[in-house]
Amino acid sequence: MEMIKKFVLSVLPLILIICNAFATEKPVLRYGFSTFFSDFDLSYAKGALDLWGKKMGERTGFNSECYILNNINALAEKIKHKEIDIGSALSVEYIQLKKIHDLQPMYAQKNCADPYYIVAKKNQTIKNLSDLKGKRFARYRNDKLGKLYLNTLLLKQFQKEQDTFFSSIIQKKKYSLALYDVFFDKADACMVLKRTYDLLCELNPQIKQDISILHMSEPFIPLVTFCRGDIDQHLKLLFIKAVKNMFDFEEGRQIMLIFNVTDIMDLTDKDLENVTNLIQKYEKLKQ
Amino acid sequence: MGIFKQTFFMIIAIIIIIIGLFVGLTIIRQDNVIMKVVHNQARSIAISVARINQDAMLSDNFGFIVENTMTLIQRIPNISYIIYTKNNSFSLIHTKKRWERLLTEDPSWKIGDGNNECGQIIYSDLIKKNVFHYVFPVKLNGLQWGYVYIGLSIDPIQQDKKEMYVIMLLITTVCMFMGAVLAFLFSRRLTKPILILEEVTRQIARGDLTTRANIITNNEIKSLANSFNTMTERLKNITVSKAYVDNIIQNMNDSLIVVNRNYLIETINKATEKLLGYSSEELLNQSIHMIIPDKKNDSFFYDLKNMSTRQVIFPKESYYINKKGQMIPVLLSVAEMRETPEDNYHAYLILALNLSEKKETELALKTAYLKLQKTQSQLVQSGKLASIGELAAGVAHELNQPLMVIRSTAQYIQLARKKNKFTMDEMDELIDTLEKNTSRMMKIINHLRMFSRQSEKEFTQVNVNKVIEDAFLLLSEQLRLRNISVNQELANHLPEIFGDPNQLEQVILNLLSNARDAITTKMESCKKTYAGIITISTQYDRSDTGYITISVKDNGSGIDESIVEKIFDPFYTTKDVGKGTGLGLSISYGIIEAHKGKIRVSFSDKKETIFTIKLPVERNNNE
Repeated sequence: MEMIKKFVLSVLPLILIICNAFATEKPVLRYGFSTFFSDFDLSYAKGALDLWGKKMGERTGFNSECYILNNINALAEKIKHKEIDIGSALSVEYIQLKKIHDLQPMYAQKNCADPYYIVAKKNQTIKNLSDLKGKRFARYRNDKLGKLYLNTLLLKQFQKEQDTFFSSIIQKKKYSLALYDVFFDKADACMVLKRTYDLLCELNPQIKQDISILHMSEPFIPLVTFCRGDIDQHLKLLFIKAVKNMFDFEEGRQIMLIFNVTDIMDLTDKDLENVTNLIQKYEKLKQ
Repeated sequence: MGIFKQTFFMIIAIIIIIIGLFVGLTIIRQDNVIMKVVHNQARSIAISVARINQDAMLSDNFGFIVENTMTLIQRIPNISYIIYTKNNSFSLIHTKKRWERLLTEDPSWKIGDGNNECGQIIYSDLIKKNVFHYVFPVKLNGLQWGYVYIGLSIDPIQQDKKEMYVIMLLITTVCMFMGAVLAFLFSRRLTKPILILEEVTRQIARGDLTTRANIITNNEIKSLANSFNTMTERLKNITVSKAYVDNIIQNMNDSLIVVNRNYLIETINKATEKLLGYSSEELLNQSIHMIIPDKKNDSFFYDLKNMSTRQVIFPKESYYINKKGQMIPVLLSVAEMRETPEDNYHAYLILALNLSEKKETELALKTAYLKLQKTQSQLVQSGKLASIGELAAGVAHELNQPLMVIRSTAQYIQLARKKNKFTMDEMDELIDTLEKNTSRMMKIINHLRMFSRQSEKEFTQVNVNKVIEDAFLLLSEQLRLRNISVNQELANHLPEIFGDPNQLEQVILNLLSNARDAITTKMESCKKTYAGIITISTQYDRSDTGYITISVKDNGSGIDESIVEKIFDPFYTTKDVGKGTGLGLSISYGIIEAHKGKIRVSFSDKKETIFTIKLPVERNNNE
């Protein structure tokens, strides 16, 4: 009896080791998000992303690790050390990173390209952009692309950049809040996405009556998802498949809705050409 | 309606009442609860939005308010609108689809006294629907700066109510269905034994006493069924079935008729049909007048009416009229029929015994009796005449002696007249002798004539001693001539009996004649020292049942014991042919029987023959 017990105890760990060796280990996909989550509670965002990655992995066959990075530099470090495989960032940031690292665009939210409106309270004294000089201006605080576009626009009209052009700049957490400031006379003008302006006018037609559009830009893609150039192609395909499958089941659609993503489209560098041109033009005008 | 239906519907009614009360109270309670929940929800929302937006409102950061409020409205489905007012002039109105800024305040938003929290269902012009409108005054440091108006959709309330009603309806339906099923099962379980008992009762009422109630349940009804079965078993043991009774009634030989209080015939048996010649269909429900003669009706119905008072006693003889109109004599017995001994009678049971044959038999018997009586009279007369014939010689002797005296007296008178030797005194003495002897002769002759006369069979008071003396009047001379001594031991003060003296004298004469003949027979075969003695005695024994005893004893030749049983048979005689008719003792036996008396023969130790006659003293005309 004692012999049998010893035999079992000695053989059992060996059996477990053999079983573990034969078990197929899932590949791990590391995902990094940059600062556009700064308006959210990070723990909430982290939880939502973990859930998102887990659901995708379950359905497609990989394990995921999500990272939320506070700034573009942190993201660049991760890419540099190949600690992430896939990342999401502002289109402006992506173009800056691409100059340094081997990156490939993957997808963006479908129909996300939206023009900027520069709007002001209907007033006899404000007819065009130059009339805003010395006025109070409200804008979305994390909108690097918008800020870049407005500075380029001012520079093209031989004006100074916005920080000195306006008497004050009110940083708002949302585009809608910037527009409300104009409506409620907290600001004289603001920069807002066309989608936001239309929505708010629909919610309150008084806005359309009280506020006039001074300028409208071309549409820009604000956010992109990309991958390292040397990523395992199999892993890349699994990820693309997983993201697209998220819209095939209710739970996946709910998770994607958290990120305001209703559909995605494949992305190429050409799709981001206007942003690249905008950066180049700004840098040229600034010189 | 049967007990099953009554029980079933009663339980259903109870279930409906209980469910109705439950549903009604639940709905009322639930309505209150829902309204309270809605009120609390509205108040919570109002407090929350007031706190969140208070600083923004005070600092005119309306964008913040709009953004938060629109987000809130979108997230909480049942908020229809949120309105903020400031200083009764500036208003922000938020609905699901839009928001709006007004520079005035709509007075219709304020409900109640306008200063305190208040909520009620109103029609809202904003969303064109009924909403739960809640007013919440917003204060800061005791200073009221505005109001928050919350409009909660009552659609969820209505939906909740609707769902509640549906659930209630569903529960009610299920409960009703289950209640109906349970009521059915319970009612059946409860009433089935009762219905079984009822069916068994019906069967027993129809006369089937073999039926038993088989109850499975273990309750009081089972106990009742057991008692019922025991009762039925006992009933079966102590009673007979209706069929059995009907069979008895129908197979009775006597007529049986049941009439109700109105004297309508309710029941008859076959014997009645046979007796009257009517069928049962012809008689049933007909008046009893139909079969009882009209002139007898009054009497019969009088009898019926008065039988309970025992003024009339049945059975009584009456008459039925049959189908041919013939009157049938019947002996009616009537009894009153009662459900219970305490009840008034409700019918009469008339039992009629057909007396036709009995009447015919009685008539024949009466005729025969009269004929027999006549025959017996003739026989008695014959016997009497025979006795007279036998007595003729004795009578001759009886008459001869006075005649001889008369002749001797007449010869003496003739001789004395010739000799002129008798005196007047002697003449008187002779005439007296003639008178006495002729009187004796007349007495003998008169008695003989009277004795020989046909008896009228009329009973009168009779002195037995006188009868005996009269008998010796005809027979004493014969006994004297045959040297037969006679001892008369007649009792003094003997009471009279009721009878025919002529017939009784014939009996005495028969017995004395037989004694005379027995002594004469013995004399002829005996020594000369033999002396024949006849002893006749009468006595009255008061200790007995009032009988006078007459004994006639002789020491003659006696009677062989082997023929003792035959001596009273008619035409039986031991005498030589021509000397006896064989009727003497037979007629005597008949006469004594007619007088309710007894005659028997016995023998003394000295082989003397003793005929003893016992005649009752206490008799009356009716007997």
